[in-house]
Amino acid sequence: MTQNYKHYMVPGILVALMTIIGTLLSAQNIAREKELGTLEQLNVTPITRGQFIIAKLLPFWVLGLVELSLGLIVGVLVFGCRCGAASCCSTASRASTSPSRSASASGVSTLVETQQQAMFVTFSSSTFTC
Amino acid sequence: MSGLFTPVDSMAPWVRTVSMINPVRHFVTISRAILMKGAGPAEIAQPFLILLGTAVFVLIVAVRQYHKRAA
Repeated sequence: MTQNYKHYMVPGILVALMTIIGTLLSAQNIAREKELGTLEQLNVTPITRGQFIIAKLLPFWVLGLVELSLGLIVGVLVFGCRCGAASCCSTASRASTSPSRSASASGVSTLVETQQQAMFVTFSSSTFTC
Repeated sequence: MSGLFTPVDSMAPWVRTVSMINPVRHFVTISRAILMKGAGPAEIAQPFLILLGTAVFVLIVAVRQYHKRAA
C-alpha cells in the first residue's frame, strides 16, 4: 500500500471544514437573532431552554452532513480517495459527533451580544483547536 | 493541536495530554481511521465515545447558561 499525502490530508481537511463552518454558522445564528431583536419574541413563547438550543442546532447539523457528503464526493472524484462501505459508517459516526462543535458554538452565542463578537470568539477557538 | 497539520506523536508529552480534551483531535482520528485504514465501528469506538461525551457535556453547559430573561 502506498502512502499518499492527499489521502492523508483529505479526511483531515474535511474535519476542519465541518468544524469551522459548523461552529461559525451556529454561533452567528443566535447572535444575529439577538441583534435583530427577534430573540426576544422567541423568549416569550413557552418553549424550554433545551428545546430552543436543540432546535437552533438541528439545521446546522443537517448542513454539516450535506457538507460532509459533498466533501466526500470531491475527495473520491478529484483526489481519488478510497471509500466504499466505510463511508456509510463514516457518515453515521460524524452524524453524531458534529453536535459537539455546534453545541459549543451555541454556548458561545449565548454569551456574546453581537455577530462580530461571536465571529472573533469562534475564529480564535478554531485556530487553536484545529 | 488536533494532529491535522502536525502529527500528535511529534508533540511534547504535556501538549499531547492537553490535546486529549480537544474534540477536533478525536474527530481527526476517526476520520483518518475510516477513510485511510477502513476502520469499522469497533476501532473508532473509543474516540467516538469521547466525542459523544463532550457533545452531551457542552450541550448541557450551553442550555444551563442560556437565560430567557435578559439580565
